[in-house]
Amino acid sequence: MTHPAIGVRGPKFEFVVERGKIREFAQAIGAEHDAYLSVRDPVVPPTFLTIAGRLWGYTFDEPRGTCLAEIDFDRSLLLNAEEEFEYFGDLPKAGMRLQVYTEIKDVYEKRGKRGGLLSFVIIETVFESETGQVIAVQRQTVVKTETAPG
Amino acid sequence: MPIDWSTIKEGTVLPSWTAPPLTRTEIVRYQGASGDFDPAHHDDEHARRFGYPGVFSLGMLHAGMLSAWLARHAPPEQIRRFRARFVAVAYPGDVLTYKGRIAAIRQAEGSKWADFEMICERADGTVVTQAWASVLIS
Repeated sequence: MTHPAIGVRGPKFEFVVERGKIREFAQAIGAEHDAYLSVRDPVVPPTFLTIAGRLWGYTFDEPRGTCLAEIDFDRSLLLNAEEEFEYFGDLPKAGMRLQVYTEIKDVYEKRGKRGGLLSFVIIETVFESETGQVIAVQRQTVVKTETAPG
Repeated sequence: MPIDWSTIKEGTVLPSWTAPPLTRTEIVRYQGASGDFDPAHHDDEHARRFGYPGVFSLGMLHAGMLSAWLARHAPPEQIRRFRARFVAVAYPGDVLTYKGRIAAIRQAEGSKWADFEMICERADGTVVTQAWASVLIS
């Protein structure tokens, strides 16, 4: 049976790539490279876009009253299983205004190696330039387990 | 040390980096920077309610640290793909090593690419985070 959440898409929001936020994020991950800290318009570290939805928009974790909130899924202890970032050209730089939305791509259940039931959600967040070109996609796999992993 | 692109080879193992023991401050700093305020990463009582011995780190912190490790070896502006898989959790006090190798040099879409494989592991060898990246050479 196909899960009714598949295809649910959150509203578009704007994410401005800010130099100070890049600096704060780069320092938090120990990325001391000049490309992040010293140049005037730094590029983003490859995992930086993960903050967009949390700070500015609507995500599966933080739906903020949008259609994403209506998805019937227990979110009490969701774990990140995988996160991927793909860029289709030059990396976003400080000063860019990106248009962003999140879409639920898949929801399924699987028996884990230790017999517990695992529920997976595949979430895609699309980042477009001001002219509507897709410049990056974030793909997230979150999992709900019956027991805490080691 | 940045890689010399003219001489890189598939299979080249790059120097690893072992960080000082992971601190709660680093975890909280990443939470602030990322906006992920899941209390399981800073509230022991909350973490214990879910069966953990105490607060644990965020997979995305170690994914980020692997990307920082990558940026020491490859030009950050040239990274085009980065994928991280969260295998196990890390706890404050863990001594984590970040390391990786060049898994492939390949031509695709008229460009030359270097594919990297990386891991973050605990001192006992437990893999915490795996990551894969593609970097545009030319």
